[in-house]
Amino acid sequence: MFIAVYAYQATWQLTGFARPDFMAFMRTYSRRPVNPAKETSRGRILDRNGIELAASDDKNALKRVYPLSRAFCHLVGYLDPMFGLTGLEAADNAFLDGYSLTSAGEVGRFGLNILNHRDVGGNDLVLTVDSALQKHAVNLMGKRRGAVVALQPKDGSILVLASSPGFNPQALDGRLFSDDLADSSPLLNRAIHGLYPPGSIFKIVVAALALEKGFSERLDCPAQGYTPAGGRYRPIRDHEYYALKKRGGTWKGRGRIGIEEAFAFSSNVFFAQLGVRLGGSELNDIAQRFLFSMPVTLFEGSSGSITARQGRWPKLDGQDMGSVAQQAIGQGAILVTPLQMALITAAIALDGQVYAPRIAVRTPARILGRLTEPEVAQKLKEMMRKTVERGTAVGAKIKGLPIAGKTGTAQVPDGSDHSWFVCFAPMDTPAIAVAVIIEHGGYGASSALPVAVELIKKAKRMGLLETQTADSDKAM
Amino acid sequence: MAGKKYGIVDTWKYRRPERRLFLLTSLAIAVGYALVTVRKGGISSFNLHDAMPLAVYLCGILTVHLVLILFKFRGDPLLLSAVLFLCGIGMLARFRLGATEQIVIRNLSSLALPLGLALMLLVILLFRKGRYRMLESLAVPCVISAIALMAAIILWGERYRGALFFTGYTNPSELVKILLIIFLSGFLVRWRKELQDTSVGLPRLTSRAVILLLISWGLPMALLLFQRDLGLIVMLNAVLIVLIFMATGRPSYLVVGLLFGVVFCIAAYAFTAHGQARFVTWLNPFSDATGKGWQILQAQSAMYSGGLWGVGLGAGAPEYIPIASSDLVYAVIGEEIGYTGCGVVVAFFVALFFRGYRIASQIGHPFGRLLAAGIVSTLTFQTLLNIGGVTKALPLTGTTLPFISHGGSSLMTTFLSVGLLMALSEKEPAPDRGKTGKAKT
Repeated sequence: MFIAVYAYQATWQLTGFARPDFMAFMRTYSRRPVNPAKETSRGRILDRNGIELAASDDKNALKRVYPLSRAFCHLVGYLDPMFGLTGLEAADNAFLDGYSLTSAGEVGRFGLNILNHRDVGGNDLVLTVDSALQKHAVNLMGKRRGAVVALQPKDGSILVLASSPGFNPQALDGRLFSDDLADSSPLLNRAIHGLYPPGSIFKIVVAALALEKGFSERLDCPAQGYTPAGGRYRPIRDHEYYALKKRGGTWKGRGRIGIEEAFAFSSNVFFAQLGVRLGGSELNDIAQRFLFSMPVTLFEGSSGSITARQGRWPKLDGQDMGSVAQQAIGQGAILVTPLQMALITAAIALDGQVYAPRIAVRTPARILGRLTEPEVAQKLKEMMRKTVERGTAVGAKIKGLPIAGKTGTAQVPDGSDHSWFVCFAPMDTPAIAVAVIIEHGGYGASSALPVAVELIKKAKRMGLLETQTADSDKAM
Repeated sequence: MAGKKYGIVDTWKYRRPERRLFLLTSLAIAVGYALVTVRKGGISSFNLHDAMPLAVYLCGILTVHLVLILFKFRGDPLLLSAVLFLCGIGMLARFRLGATEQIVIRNLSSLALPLGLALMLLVILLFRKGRYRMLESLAVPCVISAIALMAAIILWGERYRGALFFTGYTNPSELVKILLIIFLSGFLVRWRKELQDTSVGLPRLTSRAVILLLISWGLPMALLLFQRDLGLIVMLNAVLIVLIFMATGRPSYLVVGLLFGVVFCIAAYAFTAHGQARFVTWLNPFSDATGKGWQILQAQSAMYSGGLWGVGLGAGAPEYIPIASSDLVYAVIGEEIGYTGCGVVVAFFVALFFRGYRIASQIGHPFGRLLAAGIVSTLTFQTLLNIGGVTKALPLTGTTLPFISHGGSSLMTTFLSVGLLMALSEKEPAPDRGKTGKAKT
């Protein structure tokens, strides 16, 4: 029994540095002149180009420095004696502090630390994100609330994971945690934890189902809209109806149109009818396939993981046609995260296949699954390109940079609509997939689209799109 | 040799291993003392006053050794060296923590060591040569005085850190321990036959012995519960189980005892807020790191900064650990002489207990054997509870670390029990053991 107690003592006295809570306690509350906890030099967090996102202060190992401040406040998180640790600082705590024992060097240092209790020397965590692009995304959002996700379809590497508003991780303040800020919630990482109605960008999913089923009919889309189940509900109308009504004009309707045109002009009347025709149970199935049924993990760290919230898809029972119609146009009770929409866009760009999102370079690329068939994905790509060329997303039409995308305008009960835009570029050799949401930004084309376009322009200037093209050229 | 009178010279020779170990112990402690003095403020600020504790300690060792030889004591020659080494560590810790910096006479606790040693010698001389047997007839008075003592504490004591103390922080419940062990040994010898009578391995609840035991043991336990001295309750009941098993040789008592222990722990958790708080603090001290978890976490922090080799005697910062000098002294040791030093201390404890059980097993008289085993078990469980508590292997129970913890009444009682154990270790009554054996048969 004494041996057991003595052995247990070693787990605190000698290898106590492997207990994050304990280390945090000592960093904060141990005022001893000899405090080994304060001498362990924690590793840095770097972006793909080696730019420091988090580092330890030279003079005071206790203090953590965040050179890019609020741009990475959610993803990198913070390590603070008062407020604890969050984000990657928390999820990869052991690795950063150097006691995850994953390499021979670390094991050696671990042994030395037991012997003389000095510097363990942490590891640097290298991310796939591009800090310049991320900063640009944060600047583009400005004071507006929202999120930007950009990733490389070819391997799931995340380039941008930005959320607004943010906070300064180096000047934390108790007020940040108070209920007064519940409305703007600066601590929330909207890119992966924000749940929003997708609105029209969900038409990508419904269109995929229609194409899989070989749907090729033309449907009548009159001005008075479409009322599912014979008048028990308010009619679903196209956005032009409301826009023109506001300006004192009248919308004449689109007449009989096919799915391509309906997609390009984002016809709610068409897609509501389409949804009802496809049926609730089919929609349930495709929603499950399009990542509604599983939480997606971006990072599996030494001390925890970073996992996006699961989207919400209320099961349709096939009787309630009102809900079927609503959910088919991305309204009703359906909710998604910006990351989920970026992944769906990446899947379309990559012939229906999607890689699991990865945030750390050391995480190997892994195929998450196939969302749809290559032929369907190819057709969707063309439809998204047409949306940019002559549909709702003409704002994204840039010479020499073929973008394909879809706008979304999601109605919310409080305030004006959320503005969505998902896209990928270049059209033929997609190197980047982007999802942008601007809360209460109005039309997708008016707020979210410019952010995404500016971001892709910047990515092009930085050569993030060219290298990809060159690579694929070589492959060909 | 047989029949020859046993003289002082023979004792001198017999106690040679003790002498050697005492010498080594003295040397180790003196070096440690010098280190602490240097760290404390250098030779310049050193005055004679500071040398007092060491002088007292060394004189104490010398006196103990000489007195034992003078009285031709033939008891165990190894036990005391372990005891005095641990006392030396305790003295160092106390000196290091500055408890002896006040004027010596005023501070009763600094006199605890010499007084304790004197008490131990007195007990040895009083009960040696088999005279401990008279304690057997005192079993009933012992339990009655134990109950009376506890009742007195409850009536006139003051609460301090959750436990009851008399003025001046003397804690008479320490004495209760030894009284109850004497009672238990006497009782078990008297009722052994009845307790051996078990049905299906279980003791008969209707037997007179069981009923008597339940009453005479239950009452002091209830009083201890009222005092909220959970540590002492756990300790004494563990001893009870060990002694009943030893007396009866029935393993079923171990099983039943363990079951009762589990039930007691669950009840303590479920029904007392005090017990529950300790349990929660034990499992997750970080849930209230700056409140209830503070003490144990500061102790752990101290030990962590000590690491494998320690920061050096006198170089630690025990002032950050609440009640470092008594219950949590082990953390101070861990900080200053490291995991290795703790290993040495634990090794000495274990050696002491092994020696103690060996002594007990060699005693022919049943009462003596039980009493010795009871004393050793008490010290063992007390040490286990304390070290386990400080290292967070067990919940903190507020028990002191024998020989080392600062605390006059605890040290006195410990010396009293060691004195008894030493007295018990002497072969009796004739000096030649071979002859005694033959005479008996």
